Amino acid sequence: MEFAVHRKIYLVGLVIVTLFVITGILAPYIVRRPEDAWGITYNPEKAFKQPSLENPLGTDALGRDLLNRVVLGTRFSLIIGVSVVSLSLFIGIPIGLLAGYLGGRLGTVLMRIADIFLAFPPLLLAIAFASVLGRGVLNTIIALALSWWPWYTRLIYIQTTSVKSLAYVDSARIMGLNPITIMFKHILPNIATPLITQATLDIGSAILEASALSFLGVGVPPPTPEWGLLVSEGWQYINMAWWISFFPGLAILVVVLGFNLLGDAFKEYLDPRVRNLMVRRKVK
Amino acid sequence: MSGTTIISIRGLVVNYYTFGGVIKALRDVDLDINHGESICIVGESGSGKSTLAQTIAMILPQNAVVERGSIIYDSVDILRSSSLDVLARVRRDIGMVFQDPATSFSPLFPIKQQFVDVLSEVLKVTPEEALRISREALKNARLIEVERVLNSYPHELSGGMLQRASIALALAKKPKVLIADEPTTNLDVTTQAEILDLIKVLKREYGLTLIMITHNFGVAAHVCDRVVVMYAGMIFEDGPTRQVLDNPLHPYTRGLLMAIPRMGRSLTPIPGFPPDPREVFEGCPFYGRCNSARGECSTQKPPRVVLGERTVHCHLYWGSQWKS
Repeated sequence: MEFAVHRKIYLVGLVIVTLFVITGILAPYIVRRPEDAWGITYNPEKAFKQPSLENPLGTDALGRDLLNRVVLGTRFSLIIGVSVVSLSLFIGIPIGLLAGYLGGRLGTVLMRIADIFLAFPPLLLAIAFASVLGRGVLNTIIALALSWWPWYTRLIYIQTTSVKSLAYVDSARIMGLNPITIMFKHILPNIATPLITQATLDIGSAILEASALSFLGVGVPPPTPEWGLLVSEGWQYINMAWWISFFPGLAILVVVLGFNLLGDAFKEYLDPRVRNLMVRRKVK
Repeated sequence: MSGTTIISIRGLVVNYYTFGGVIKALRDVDLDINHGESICIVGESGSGKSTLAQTIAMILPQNAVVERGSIIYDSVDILRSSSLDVLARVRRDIGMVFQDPATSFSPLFPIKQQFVDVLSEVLKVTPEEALRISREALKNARLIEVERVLNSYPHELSGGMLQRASIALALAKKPKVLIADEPTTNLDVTTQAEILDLIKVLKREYGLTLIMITHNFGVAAHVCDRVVVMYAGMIFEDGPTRQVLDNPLHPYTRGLLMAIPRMGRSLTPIPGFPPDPREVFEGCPFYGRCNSARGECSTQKPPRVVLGERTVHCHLYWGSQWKS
């Protein structure tokens, strides 16, 4: 983690992401009344309470404590962000490697399929998949991953075609290694740098898009305390109770910013030229 | 030169299909490589010498198409056979050393891991056994500090050390044929000589058939018994190194030898430029740059003239007998 020390702004990203992950894991144990966050019983005397000591972020239309709900929402955003990116990589990596390394007709067919997906605006495609699959955390993840993998496929395809003409890949071929070994042991590690950077940036974007799906009513169903859903539940009261939409929205903003900063840090740090510069600066 | 042919190439035509047109990399190449000989393929950039090596090694890029011809290795046409056994045999028997030692190894892993991973898969041995074989191979490649090399990343080693290591890796599977594609081009001059000597010694120790690709007649003279001169995808001249260097037959070979800079002699370049590799030739591709060109040179393919141990593809020698 020495990269974060050299540029303070990356430290901010690292801190945000670390806090986010810890909160996501521990969420049910650190909120005061977890059952209250899920409750759908109407509690009129507690509804629309301004932020106060009792309810630091206020309460929503049904009288549920917003802090509880935002903190519990961390877990869903964490699960969705990480799963969408992992699932997309899981689909995208083999297809991109196959298309790039083997090429030929198979490569053309695979990349044209990816192109069809890329031709749609990603959110539109995700909305379409989500509408077909129905609401739910798992379905949101699947819908997002299905619209996401072609971006990785294309990235890996381009990187693979440039790496595969290097002598060590020819050398591996001529030594008689099988193509699977060459793809996963000799090509993939050498193209991992842009992939790690992109994946880190994308966790933030996946959280944002999952929230967008929930906000639009095709993502996670109520009463799940998912951030996008919280924003959507509050927007009709925005004039009288701004806090209901504001705090979940702020949470999305901060976490996405954190992942973007961390992604930028990786981008710089994993580039050996920049890394050497940083190390030299430290020596001085 | 011992008698038996190990690789026999007949009528080989290889094209590259690119957006800029069809590049004719090899135009009808015939070549017999004998068991245990060391043969140098000499030519300029774009003469097709590397394509020839890649075709023999079966690592042509995807946009290359073998249009015609055959390569008989071990009595099987390796270009026409789709059997995996044949590919496996080629992979087992042919080793290759590349031009740029800096990219011959994956930059991300220590040499030890790459040797062990590759050799344990290729030779189907345990990692411990693979490590033992690696040590032995590196020692055979005259690397001192074998342990340091094994524990280093590629960028921590010099070009000469890396080239020794890649020779060691190529030879660790005990191939019958070693193809060296300009193995010394990216090294400095003193290291070049060491690597060439090493290849010469190892060729003898391992009983290899050596195919060396180079643009440098000095390399050919230093290492090889036989030299093949290529131009525009064709073989122009083929013969024992000393004879070709002392008494070049083909006007192109003569021109090339005159164009080598030497102390106390002004250098005579060959006029003109190499032809566009997309061009189709009626006659000789060297026509137009050749100072001995005659009428039929522009209209008829140069004939193959065999003069004792030597072969030359040129109209000048049509019907003549070699008097030694």
